[in-house]
Amino acid sequence: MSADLAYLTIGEASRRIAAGDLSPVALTEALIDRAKQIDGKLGSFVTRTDEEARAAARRAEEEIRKDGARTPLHGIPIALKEAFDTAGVRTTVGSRLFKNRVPSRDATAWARLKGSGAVLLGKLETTEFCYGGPSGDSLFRPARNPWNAEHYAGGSSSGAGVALAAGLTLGALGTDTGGSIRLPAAYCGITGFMPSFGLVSRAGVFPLSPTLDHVGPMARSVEDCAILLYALAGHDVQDPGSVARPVVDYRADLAGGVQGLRIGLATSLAQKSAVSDEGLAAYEAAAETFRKLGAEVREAKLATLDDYATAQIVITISEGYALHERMLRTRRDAYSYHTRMRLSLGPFVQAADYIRALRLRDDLIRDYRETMRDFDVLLIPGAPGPAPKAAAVGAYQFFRNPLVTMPANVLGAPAIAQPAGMSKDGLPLAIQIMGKPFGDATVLRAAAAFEQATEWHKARPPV
Amino acid sequence: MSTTRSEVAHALQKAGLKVPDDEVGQVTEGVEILERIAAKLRDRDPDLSEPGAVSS
Repeated sequence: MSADLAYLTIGEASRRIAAGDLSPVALTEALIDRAKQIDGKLGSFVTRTDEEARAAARRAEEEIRKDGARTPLHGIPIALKEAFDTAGVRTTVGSRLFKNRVPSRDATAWARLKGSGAVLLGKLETTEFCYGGPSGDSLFRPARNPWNAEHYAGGSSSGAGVALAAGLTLGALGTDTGGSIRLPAAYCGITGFMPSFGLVSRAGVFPLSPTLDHVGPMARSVEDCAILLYALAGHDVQDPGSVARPVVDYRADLAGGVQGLRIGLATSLAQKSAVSDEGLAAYEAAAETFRKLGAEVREAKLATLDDYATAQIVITISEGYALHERMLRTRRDAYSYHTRMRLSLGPFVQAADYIRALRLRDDLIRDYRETMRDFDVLLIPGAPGPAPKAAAVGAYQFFRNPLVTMPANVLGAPAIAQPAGMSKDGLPLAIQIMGKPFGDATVLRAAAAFEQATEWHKARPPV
Repeated sequence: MSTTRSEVAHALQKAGLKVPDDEVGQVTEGVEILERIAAKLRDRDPDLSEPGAVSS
């Protein structure tokens, strides 16, 4: 299979399928072959649905031949994080506790993509219960970063980051409670978008912290995230956090550019204590790129990363423990090491502290709303730096060293992580663009302008 | 004042979590981090005697 086909974007493949230049069957077959050849060492897929994918691709091809493509996802092969329920297909959430769990219904997000004609290639590795890892004692071996197998692929949507970087799928869905879409995107050199809280249904997706959890697209271009988001967005009564708002075509304004766009530099989040020199250099270079593109770039006053992390950590431990308490009492030893270490802090959070964390979140949201009167989006470093060595990521690493991805979850704000550089050791660097709640289209527009002005998203790992 | 290892072991037992002895030390480290975080939250508590400090 040619690398060109493996690294097609959804947008490119969709246009070629619509023009009759590309067969969904051939594309699906090529990706299945590529996974057979190289995924043994990467471990991005935990379940491949090859036969179902072939059947779905044949069906799509026939439908397109008869009536044309009904959406840009018709006949497009994608894959799902192992936290999304898929009817009849094992969904373990990466845990020995759910080793043989087979859902009877699809998660709403997958049902919407399937309804758009997407083809499911399989399920992608997640750190256990979207909270663990990278733990050597997990149900599945942690997916390997294709840029350097010794380095962390990011989590918890690890398999999605790896599969996209390695050219094994055209798109994927991930979940994000403190950075689980954006960190794997940053560490693997792909694009991951966490939409506004409430925009995409989480029904049928295994929760970690229901007031912070988001579902979102991961892909190799901003356009692809926009295509996936358009198919995913919309109210769902099955998700109590879902919000009824009109869905817009997120691709419509992608070429609008950033001339005059007010971009805030979130300097309180871009501190040496939280971000490496290389990460900060990529962030500063990105600010310069936006200036050259005509954006109004200036400093924005924001709360400290410590404030956001305080709220995120206490809320996640409390809500996660409330979900897992019963299983922890009876089967704690079946959890992987990192997951049980983190969840075992649950009994030490007092109810009053949880309420205080919610109050802090309310204050941070109010302050953010005030700040964003003067800005359209904010620019933030994408990660603490290049991917650390997997062996160096301890159970409480992200409690000691808060992540620059945490603020968006606390705020319920849309945020995208995209490639913005390369470290001296050949590992991807990233930026984030964060917007106003339900300002998803503006975030995507700014990200598309940056992507068009740079080449970082075109870098490919040595697989 | 930070929670001691034996206090952590006792609290885990009281919560019904069976944590092997060799893991209690690591959990204690996590509890220390969590206590520092919780202290920051408590530092933000309003002075209730101050008029207008809180409202429902």
